[in-house]
Amino acid sequence: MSDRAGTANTPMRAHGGADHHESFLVYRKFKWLKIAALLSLVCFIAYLVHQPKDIPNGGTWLGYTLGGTGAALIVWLTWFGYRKRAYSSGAGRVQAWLSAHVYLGLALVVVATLHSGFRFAWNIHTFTYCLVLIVVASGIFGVFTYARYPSLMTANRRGLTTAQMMANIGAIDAELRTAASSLGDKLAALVVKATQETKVGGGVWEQLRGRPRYCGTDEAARELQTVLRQDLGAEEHEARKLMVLLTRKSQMLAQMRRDIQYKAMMDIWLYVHVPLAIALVVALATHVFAVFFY
Amino acid sequence: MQAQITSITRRARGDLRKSSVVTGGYLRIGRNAHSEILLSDLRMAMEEAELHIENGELRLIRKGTNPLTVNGQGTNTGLLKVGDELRLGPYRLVIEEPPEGVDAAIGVELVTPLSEDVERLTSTSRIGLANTWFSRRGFAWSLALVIALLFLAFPLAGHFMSRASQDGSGSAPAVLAAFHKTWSAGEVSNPHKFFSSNCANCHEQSFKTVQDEACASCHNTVNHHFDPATVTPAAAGQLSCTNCHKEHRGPVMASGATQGVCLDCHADIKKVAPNTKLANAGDFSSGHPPFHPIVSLDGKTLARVDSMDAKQQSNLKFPHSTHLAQGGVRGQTGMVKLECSNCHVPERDGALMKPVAFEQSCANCHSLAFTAEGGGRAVPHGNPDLAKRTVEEFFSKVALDGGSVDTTAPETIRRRPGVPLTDPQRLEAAQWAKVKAAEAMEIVFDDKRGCGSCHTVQKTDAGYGIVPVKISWVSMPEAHFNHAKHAAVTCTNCHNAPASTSSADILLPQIATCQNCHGGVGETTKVASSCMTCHDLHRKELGPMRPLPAGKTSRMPQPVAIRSGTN
Repeated sequence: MSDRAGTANTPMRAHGGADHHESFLVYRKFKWLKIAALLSLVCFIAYLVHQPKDIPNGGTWLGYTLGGTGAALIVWLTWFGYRKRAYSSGAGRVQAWLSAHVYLGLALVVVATLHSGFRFAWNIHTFTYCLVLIVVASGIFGVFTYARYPSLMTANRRGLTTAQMMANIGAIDAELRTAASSLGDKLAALVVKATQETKVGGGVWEQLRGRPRYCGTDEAARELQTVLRQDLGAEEHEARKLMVLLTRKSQMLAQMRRDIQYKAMMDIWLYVHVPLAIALVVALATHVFAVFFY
Repeated sequence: MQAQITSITRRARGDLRKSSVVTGGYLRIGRNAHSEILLSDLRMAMEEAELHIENGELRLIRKGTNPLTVNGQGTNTGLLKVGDELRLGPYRLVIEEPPEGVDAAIGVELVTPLSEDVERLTSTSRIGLANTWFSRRGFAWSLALVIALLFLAFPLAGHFMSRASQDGSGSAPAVLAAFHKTWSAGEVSNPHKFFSSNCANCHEQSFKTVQDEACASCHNTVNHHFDPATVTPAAAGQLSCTNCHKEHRGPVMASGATQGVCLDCHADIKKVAPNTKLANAGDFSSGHPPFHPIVSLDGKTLARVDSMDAKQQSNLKFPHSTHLAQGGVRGQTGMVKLECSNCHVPERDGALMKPVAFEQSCANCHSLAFTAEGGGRAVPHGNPDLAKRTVEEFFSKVALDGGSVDTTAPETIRRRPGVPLTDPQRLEAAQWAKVKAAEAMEIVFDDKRGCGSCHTVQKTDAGYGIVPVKISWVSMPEAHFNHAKHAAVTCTNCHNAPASTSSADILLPQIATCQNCHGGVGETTKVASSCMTCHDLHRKELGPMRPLPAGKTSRMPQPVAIRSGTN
């Protein structure tokens, strides 16, 4: 599952020919938007026209129809997860699927809401409805990240790959050490801290926040600021050189951490969307079972 | 002193040793470039330690901050001998056997060098959410499992445990019962709450909707809607309790929530009841048939009429217009202005009007007196035979008693009371009484002054009679109209009595009158009224809709006897 994260933005950013650049959102002149809007409209009008002999609820003939439509949509939309992983007919096909997935997912909110007849309570039925809302909301956030983060990432990377950024930081570390070799214990300790106690990425929260709980480089730079206010005598010149190197490293780290943060933001919604979609299928099955059991 | 410093580098093909000889008063160990034993690793202090020659032995003096051990023991100072091993940060220093002409020999090895910068950064950095503890697959499986457990396994277990005993007394642990309730479609109505903890009380079979028998196990006296013999067999089976009574809709149970249930049959009633006289019915604003009240057209029988314009024959002469005249009517004490309520009094529940009674409503003005004598003696109302006897008895008594003040009467009748009659006088008195009684009866049943002013009088050889009044005091029994609920409306808004000059007029309102205020179910500018606003489904005149199955007793809880043992 994890390796998919790297290709998650592929359909959005580049597909088909190099010159042809059509988002899945506008796929075939909003074909799926139109289909989803039509479906929603038909359901909505049916709901308005329908005069149930009971108060509006999921148990009237329209209620069953809307429920069946919603259940079919949920199963189909979840199937997309498997379909996407197994595609072999090219990116264009996946783009069609993704376009349909997004717009029919939005239509599902209309269908499910009308199916509920606006009757909510603390039960499995409303719980299933809430899962629909959360899964669709996380999907909307996913679309938002696809629209926002790829361009931010490109701008932030300035043509560098992750390996290159790593190598650049390593090179500064080497420079720092050379510069510190002849310096006093205090400055040397700062350089050790900056080189030994620095990392990028980290846990979920650290990646999403874009900075680690503790960064040796930032800490060393802060301490060096304090040291520089004192009279360093002969070491002053070298210490200033250290400051320049540390600042440069900090900037590179910030760039790399931002890159990791963007990537995490583009991925995190899937960690809600996919598991809750699976949970939704289970809740849906339970909901249907409970309704027909009684 | 002179010392041989050997730098040792471990390699697979054999250690690499590079020796040099240094000279000085003592040996400095540290990162400082002037150090005799140079430890260039950045982690080292400029001055870590010193080695001095004391009486031919080596003394170690610690100067720096990094931990320093000799043969594993932390130390600040001490004498060293050949073979001793010093650990200082990432370095290992070994005191070796000094070659000829040298005071000491020390091997220096960097055991744990600083790792390659890029490698170190790469190895300590976790990039991508996939490399964290957070796993989509694990999260998905756990969530799915929790939901299946809480919302499927728990409720099912709760269901089977509460059903374990046939009498429904089985119970499930609280947590199972609580999650069992998450299957409920909504709050149970108030009257049903006391037995709602066990779903099986109504939901007797899994995968089957609630059957009428479950309702009838308590509600076995509810009246039927139709005589099953009058409808087609298919239609007879269609009407089930749950058609109208919807449970799990909140505290108030929805009873016939919409009229759609009614219209299923009544929109085309002949289809389900081929021989019915009922007209098809639809929404009140447009599809309701006109009213067909029960009145008498022939003065003998009560029957439905097709139109409000029909002339009824109630055998009563009563012009409403006269009684409700603006200037009032002439009463016993002068002109009296009458109101509807002077004669029409509602029943105790306020819904319908009591039948008008002569004594309460008419007698004030309409005297039944037939003579001025005896303080104006009157006949009783409602019984012509009794009236005749009353009149005859009165005049016979006057004749027998004597002392009449009637100046036209013979002497015999006007004699001093108490004087006995002779036989010829007795005959004369009897003849007088008979004539007087006949005269009085003329007056009593007279068309202008007596019964005939209101009633139809029949005079036969046998005497006078009154044709019975035929008024239906409940003209539309299928609808439950309530006068009390309409108290704010003036009587004449619906009953145009002041304009009615004849009792042949049917003064009930037309449906159009109701439709002035009442509309159909979808009405927004009128009182939205469904079938159930006026009609009851369960008809009192019919038997039970779902009787108790033979051999079963009602499950309706009976009141607990508070006193027992008394006769």
